[in-house]
Amino acid sequence: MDYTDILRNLIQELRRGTLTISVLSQLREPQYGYSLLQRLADKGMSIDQNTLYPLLRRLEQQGLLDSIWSVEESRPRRYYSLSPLGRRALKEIGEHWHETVRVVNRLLEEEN
Amino acid sequence: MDLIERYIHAVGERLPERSRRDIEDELRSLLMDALDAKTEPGKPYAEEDVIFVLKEFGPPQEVARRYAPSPQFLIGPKFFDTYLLVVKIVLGAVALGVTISLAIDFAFSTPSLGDVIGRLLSTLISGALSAIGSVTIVFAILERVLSEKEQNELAQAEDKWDPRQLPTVPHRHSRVKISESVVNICFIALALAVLNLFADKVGGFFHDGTWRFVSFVNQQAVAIYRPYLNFLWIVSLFHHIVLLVKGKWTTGSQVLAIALSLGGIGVLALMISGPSLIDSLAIRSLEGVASGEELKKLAELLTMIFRFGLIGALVAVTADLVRKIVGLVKVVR
Repeated sequence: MDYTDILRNLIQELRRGTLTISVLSQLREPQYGYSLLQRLADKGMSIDQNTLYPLLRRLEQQGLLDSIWSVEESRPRRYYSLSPLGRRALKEIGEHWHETVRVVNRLLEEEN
Repeated sequence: MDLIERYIHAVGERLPERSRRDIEDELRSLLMDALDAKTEPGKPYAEEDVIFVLKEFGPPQEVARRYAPSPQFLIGPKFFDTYLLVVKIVLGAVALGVTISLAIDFAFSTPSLGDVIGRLLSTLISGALSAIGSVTIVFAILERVLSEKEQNELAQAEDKWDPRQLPTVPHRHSRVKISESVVNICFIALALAVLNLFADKVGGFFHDGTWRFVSFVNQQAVAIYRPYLNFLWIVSLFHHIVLLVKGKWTTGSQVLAIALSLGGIGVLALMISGPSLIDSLAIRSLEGVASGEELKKLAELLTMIFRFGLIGALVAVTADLVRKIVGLVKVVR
């Protein structure tokens, strides 16, 4: 593997760690798959469709999200939103995130 | 649109039955959302747009794989080590079984040289293949049927290891054990002496009025095998002396060892298919000692035992040969 590949892998690994928390953070109000994709992209977090949609299903299976099929608009769409468990998880993982950022920043600073 | 439905069907085929319908519906809705973004409201979807969106989504196999609960291995990392262990044990059992069944077969028939070698190889190989296949299937089933929890319980046996139970370090391939070489040299020298000088002295003393000595060994058979055995043993003697002097193994020595094993297999096969070393006539001539019937049975029994021994030695040498070859391949890589 050359350096570009190695770097790309490192970046991917980093992003993979931030995916779930990013997705959970945007589901305080109900969103459907495509709208969530757009919303995250608009805010600078570009996720592959093929990663996001299965992730939503998994999070629902784990009980962190609720979903309903809505037939109100022109076509049926599945809306996801945080479940009460999900809200709690988001809060707690958010705290872990801040702590992690603090620690890693300090580690990086020491390098200099 | 036809393309969309075909795509959804292709993905759906690869999904587990339970969630299939639901995922298909969701997929349809998501694809159409993506297309809506590209198309003016009220207008039908353009084919290039459909193709673009579908391609962006990805090949059906990949999409289906992402929805799968976990990576699909034939035999996953948790079980693989146990699987290898079981395969080794089973292969050992197969080798044992083959020895016994071939021994019984060859003892009661008169196989030719080609027969012996051919049957040995083919039975070993086919036995090994079917054994490995069975073990693989069992583990593949285990991988799929056991729940996560049960899998973890099985795998956890590893956590309870004790450093004190680790095997001792084997003497590295390169070092030669002096005691082993010396013992080998002595035995080969002894065997050569018996073969060439004392072949007619192998037998027993019997009393039937006076003490008589009768040799159990068929001298004609010995004469046939003698040159081969001499050659094999002299080369082997030379090999061990060189090892003793040099003190370590080289690739050349390992190759020679393999060649000697092959030679050994050839000679053993020859001896199994050729006349027996046991001299039945000599045994049966001991009329004074026991009845003719008993002597005949004794002769047959001795012949058969000897044959079993030869066949056992044959399988053992073959197994050892395989090990040597595997060892050599590993080093060369």
